[in-house]
Amino acid sequence: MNKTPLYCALALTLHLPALATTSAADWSSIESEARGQTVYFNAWGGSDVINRYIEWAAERVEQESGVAVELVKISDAAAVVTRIATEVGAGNVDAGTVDLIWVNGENFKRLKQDGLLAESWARDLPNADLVDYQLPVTTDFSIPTDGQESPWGGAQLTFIYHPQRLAQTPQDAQGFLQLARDYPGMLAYPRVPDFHATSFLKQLLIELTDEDSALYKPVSESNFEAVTAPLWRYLDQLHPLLWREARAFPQGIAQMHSLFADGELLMSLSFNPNDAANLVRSGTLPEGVRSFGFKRGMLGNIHFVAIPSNAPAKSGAKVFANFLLSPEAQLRKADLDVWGDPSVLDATKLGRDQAETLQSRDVAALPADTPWLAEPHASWVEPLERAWLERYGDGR
Amino acid sequence: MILRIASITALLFCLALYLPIVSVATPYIELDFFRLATEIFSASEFTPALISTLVSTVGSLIIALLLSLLFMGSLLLTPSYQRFVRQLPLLLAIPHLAFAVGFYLLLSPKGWLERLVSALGLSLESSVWVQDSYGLSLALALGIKESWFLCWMIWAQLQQHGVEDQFLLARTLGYKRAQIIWAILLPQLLPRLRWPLVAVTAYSLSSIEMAWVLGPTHPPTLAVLAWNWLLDPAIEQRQLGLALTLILMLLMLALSVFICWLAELTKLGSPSGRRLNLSLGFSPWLLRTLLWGHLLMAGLLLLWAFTHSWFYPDLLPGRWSMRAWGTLELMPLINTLSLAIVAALLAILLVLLVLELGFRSSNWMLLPLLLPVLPLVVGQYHLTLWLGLTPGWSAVLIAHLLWVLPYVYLVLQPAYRRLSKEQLLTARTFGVRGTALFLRLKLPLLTRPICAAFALGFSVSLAQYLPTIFIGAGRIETLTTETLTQFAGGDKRLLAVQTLLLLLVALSAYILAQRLPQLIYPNRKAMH
Repeated sequence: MNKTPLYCALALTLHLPALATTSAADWSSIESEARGQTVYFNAWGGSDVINRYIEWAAERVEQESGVAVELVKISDAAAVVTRIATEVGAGNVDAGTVDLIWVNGENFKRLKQDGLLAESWARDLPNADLVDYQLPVTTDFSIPTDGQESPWGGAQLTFIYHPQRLAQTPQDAQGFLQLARDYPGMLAYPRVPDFHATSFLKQLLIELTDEDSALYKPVSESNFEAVTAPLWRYLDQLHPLLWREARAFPQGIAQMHSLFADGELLMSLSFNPNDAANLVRSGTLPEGVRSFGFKRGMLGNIHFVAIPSNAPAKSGAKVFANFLLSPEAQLRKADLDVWGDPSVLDATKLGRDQAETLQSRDVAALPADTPWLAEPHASWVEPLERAWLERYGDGR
Repeated sequence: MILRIASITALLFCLALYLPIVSVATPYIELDFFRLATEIFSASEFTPALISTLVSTVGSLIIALLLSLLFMGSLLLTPSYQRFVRQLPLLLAIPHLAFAVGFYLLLSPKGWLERLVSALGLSLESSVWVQDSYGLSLALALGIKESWFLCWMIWAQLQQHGVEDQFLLARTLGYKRAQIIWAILLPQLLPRLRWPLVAVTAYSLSSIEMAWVLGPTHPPTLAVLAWNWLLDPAIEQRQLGLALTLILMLLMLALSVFICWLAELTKLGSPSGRRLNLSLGFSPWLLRTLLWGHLLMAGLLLLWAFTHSWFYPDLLPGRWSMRAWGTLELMPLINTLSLAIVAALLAILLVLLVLELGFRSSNWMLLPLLLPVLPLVVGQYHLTLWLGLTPGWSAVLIAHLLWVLPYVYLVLQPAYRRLSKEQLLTARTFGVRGTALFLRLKLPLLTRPICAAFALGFSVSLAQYLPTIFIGAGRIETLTTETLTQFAGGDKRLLAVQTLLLLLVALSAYILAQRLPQLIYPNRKAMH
């Protein structure tokens, strides 16, 4: 079976970037409408560096375009999706409380499915021309974005370890299991349905199942039990060897980082390939930590911003989304001293200095040549989480 | 006349504020409860979650009751008694969340206690102190935190009913304290403590904040599970969440009935005259340990707040930094202060006006304390949607009042009852009545309880998490919501700074309220 990174195949099937349909005149009318609007940007607020970056972007766009951006820090995007659905359901179709939301995957799927998103707008942003369309930016977990969300950053699942405590990193799922046998109680992953936990399951599933292609189609088209059976067999073996024998799971990666830093765990997990470098700088992790991925590749995805259909400040939201795609904003975002979130811009479309900054990686980060495994179709997430909870949810 | 109109307006306003209690029912009407309940009962998470919920709720109740009886019973009629009672408001003022965070920093895996033990050459390897699957650590933390509240309630009861004299008499007759607590204190106090006990139960049962920090994670307690389900993207799951809040309500009802039954059951036994030789010598030691534990937790918060990096097994931070302080924002502080001050003042005004109506009892105002928070917040949320209220500061204020009002009432109502009939009559014979009587006599006489009510109302508003998040659409950030966000974010340094600020605001409000009567009436000792 062909094991080349699946996203390459996927990228070929994607329609190439369509020509921008909005003229400069249309955009300037959006800009003038945006002036004076207040955009409520709902974003996960658990990270101080991210919050500060967004505050910076808000200040810049206020100076430049007269759009006020209010960051609404949320702990769970699903809650905001629920809020939008409740608002629209209660007849609030043009005065919603969310103008822009940081989203991807399952939450995007639900927003799109329920018709809760503003129609095609992302490709009309002037800065959309700078985006790297080699990246899977026009599908989100195998669901076409149809211009209803604008790419913001890239992410790849990453293991963080300390070479002094772990000389040989595992190359694949079987190696991970062997490591758990060698160091019982020293490995963990967060509790499902935490986003990182589900991603870890998908990472394992892609490697363990014999039917990779089924994962990229809606789950209803395949035999869920048959496709996932190898995963459950694997976890049945793995769980007794995990931290607290899998009777408890870390609440999220934040707790995993902390347990890892204190030597309680052998590894931590992140969805930002630069995270190890960031966390050392902030003092969360000790000096000398490094990152690694499995040989065949690590799960990667793009995160986006989307505008709800009932957003009152749509123009303002577009202007802000456009700014987030500007080279200035993307370079700053990629800066390890700021946030260290990978850019979605095409380096060849930028100046040489900018391109170099974009392509440089810290020594502690995930090696840049780690292959990228595409996200399974978004419809897999829920059945996967449900099946996991049914099997292991009682903690016994 | 003006007073009368104001009072009636206040009553109507309070009734409107309490609408969520009624509207709690609305989202459930269309719910196919029995189908959903069957589904919940068969979910793999339900049984362990129910067990940990019951363990933490009932466990915390027992621990709180035991500790409070023990401390009050062993201190009563000793020189330390007054000093302990004076410390109580300070202990009460510690926000639950701040206590939970301190507890976590001390006892989490590779936390400070484990470091201390390993520095002494011993090992705590593989012992679990927080987030254990049965909710024992949650029960312990809740029990300790609630014991101060019960101590305070016991103190209020002891003042009123001459139990202190009985205690003294029993002592002179040669009974040991343990026996007096069992034979005299418990049977007399328990029936009178029944509502405070129900309130403690309601809090433990529906606590999200503490359960999040200290409770089991896999699966979490029922309240956290319901909260997760209510926020789920899938509508069926949200329906399950709604049904689960109803189950929580039924559980609360069952526990309340049980507590009331238990309170009725305890009867004064006829004494056999035997003097039992039970020593409570460990009690002062236990109390001192707990108080030092509180200080230790505050110290840990302080250390973490100035840390750059601090890894196991170091007992002190490896590198120091002020960075975390630079991340503090002003807005949450402003929101917290403005909400808490306005809510407390408004509640005091409303309660006083309602009391002026002279009804025999307005105890319906206590109702929100006896119900789990989660269904009430869901009721509030549906009400705000229905009314088309924009989420914002005022909506959150209204939401907070539902919990601030009953606590303020709890303090003001007995004080209002105790106003001297003779003084009021004298004033009336001098022709002072109505508004003038209220403003010139009652208000000044109530200065001290009003200050106490302010402190309590303030701290209740300060502690609100669910209503702030739900009704404010996350737009209104307070110290409490920021602290929980930081807990989720996992940066212990930012968490410590945020928690310290929360603690500081709560404690200063209490100290201010204690000092205020002396500042207002510097030359009238009886008014302090």
